[in-house]
Amino acid sequence: MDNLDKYFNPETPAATHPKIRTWTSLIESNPVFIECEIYRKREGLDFLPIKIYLRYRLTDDVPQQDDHDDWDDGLNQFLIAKGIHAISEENEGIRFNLMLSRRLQNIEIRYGEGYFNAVFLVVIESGFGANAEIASMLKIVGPGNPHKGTSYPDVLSSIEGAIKMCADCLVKELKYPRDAAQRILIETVKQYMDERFSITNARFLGFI
Amino acid sequence: MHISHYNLQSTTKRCCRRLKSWLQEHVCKQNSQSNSKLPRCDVLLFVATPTEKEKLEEVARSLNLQFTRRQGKAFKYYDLGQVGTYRVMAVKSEVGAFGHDGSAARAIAAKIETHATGLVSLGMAFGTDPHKSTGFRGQNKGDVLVSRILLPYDNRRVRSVDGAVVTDYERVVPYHAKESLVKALRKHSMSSEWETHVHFGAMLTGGALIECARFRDDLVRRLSDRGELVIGGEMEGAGLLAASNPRAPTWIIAKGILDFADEERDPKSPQFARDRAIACECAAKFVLTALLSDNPDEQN
Repeated sequence: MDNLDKYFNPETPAATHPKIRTWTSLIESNPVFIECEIYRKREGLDFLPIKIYLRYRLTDDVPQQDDHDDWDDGLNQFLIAKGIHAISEENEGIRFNLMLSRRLQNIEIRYGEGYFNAVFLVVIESGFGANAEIASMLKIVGPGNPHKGTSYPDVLSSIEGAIKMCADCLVKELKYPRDAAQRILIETVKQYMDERFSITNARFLGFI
Repeated sequence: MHISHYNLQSTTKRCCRRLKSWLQEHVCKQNSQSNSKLPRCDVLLFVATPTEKEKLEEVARSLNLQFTRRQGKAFKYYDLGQVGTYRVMAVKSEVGAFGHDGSAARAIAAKIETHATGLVSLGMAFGTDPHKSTGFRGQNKGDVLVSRILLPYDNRRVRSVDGAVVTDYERVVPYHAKESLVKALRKHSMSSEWETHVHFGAMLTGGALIECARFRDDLVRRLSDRGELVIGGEMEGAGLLAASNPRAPTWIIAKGILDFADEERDPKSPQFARDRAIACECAAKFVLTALLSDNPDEQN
């Protein structure tokens, strides 16, 4: 006889990561302070494995504690759903860069990376081109000039949609005010472009 | 550049004038290219031998693609221009992954210099199934091998057990190729021209020049449990791993079967030179036609 009730019971937790149960009870204990840090240390031309740190103070009279685990999309999504901010806007940029990379990867696989690169650069130029740092990156990388065939509107809206999902997370789930969310989104795009097109690495090696 | 004109018959004089004109044009073009900014590319092709480079150029030109030499700050590149929706360039390293001019050093720097987001190692490989015994359709010289997984077999442990040499391959972990490139090549491999001539699977990569069927078969037997059947092996792929975070791979290997890494391998034979040319040409043609035909409008 089947016993599938637990899968359809809305009360049953749907934790996809072993840390979620621990961190759920931690967050529900209403600590006086809680935030996360995405630890992503650059080493040479690449990055060390990424970790998520959860820093918290249960009450005012106890010292700050922390817990951590390897970066996991599900674990990060859990923290976002609980409204846990990263330690700084720059650190939010790291976090959202990882999220944006995952979302954009599916578009790249579907349409091919040549076309993805071309349309992506058009999206960034039109939406973020006014930012001086991003404009400088666009100048290094060059224009996209995609062929505007039947798939162009779909690729364009898919890429814009992935960026919009990040913007929605920032405003609706993490409750950042618009100006802070905007700064974080710009930081996210900067970090994504930097890694995708090896811009900091090119500076390290003296190519630019 | 000054060329002396000798007192030659008129046809020879005309040839000299044409040669001078060509040289002046070539030198001027080279100078102007070395001063112009290197363009960004989407896909950077890596070749390692003169034959691989020559065949890539031949195939590119046969497909009406350019093959313009460009001087970057670090290396010399060959600009194939727009290949379908991909901006493509090529660069040559030395044979092997390591060493001063090997594929590792070249891949790390060239990927950064060109801002490439995809790396393709082209050229020659060895196959693992000359007798067509795997139950798959079997392999022939000139067939193209495409790596979904790369297995660096040099990452092994060699021990002495009761005086005997025992080699342990447990440390060999599989590295996955870039999904978008696998998809583009996979789609093209299903066309009628290629469907029986392209094989996808795991490829061995390492520094050994293998001419021993027993060693080859031992590697295949012991490493085919890493997620895919081992379809072949080559020597430069490990270098591309150096240019790529394993969590976000940017590479793929696509190489033509030159031989089967067994006792029949004879580099001195005229047939070997013919097989080499065919293997390089097939790999170049497969990849370039795959990029040319990868049409985003067909995704919807």
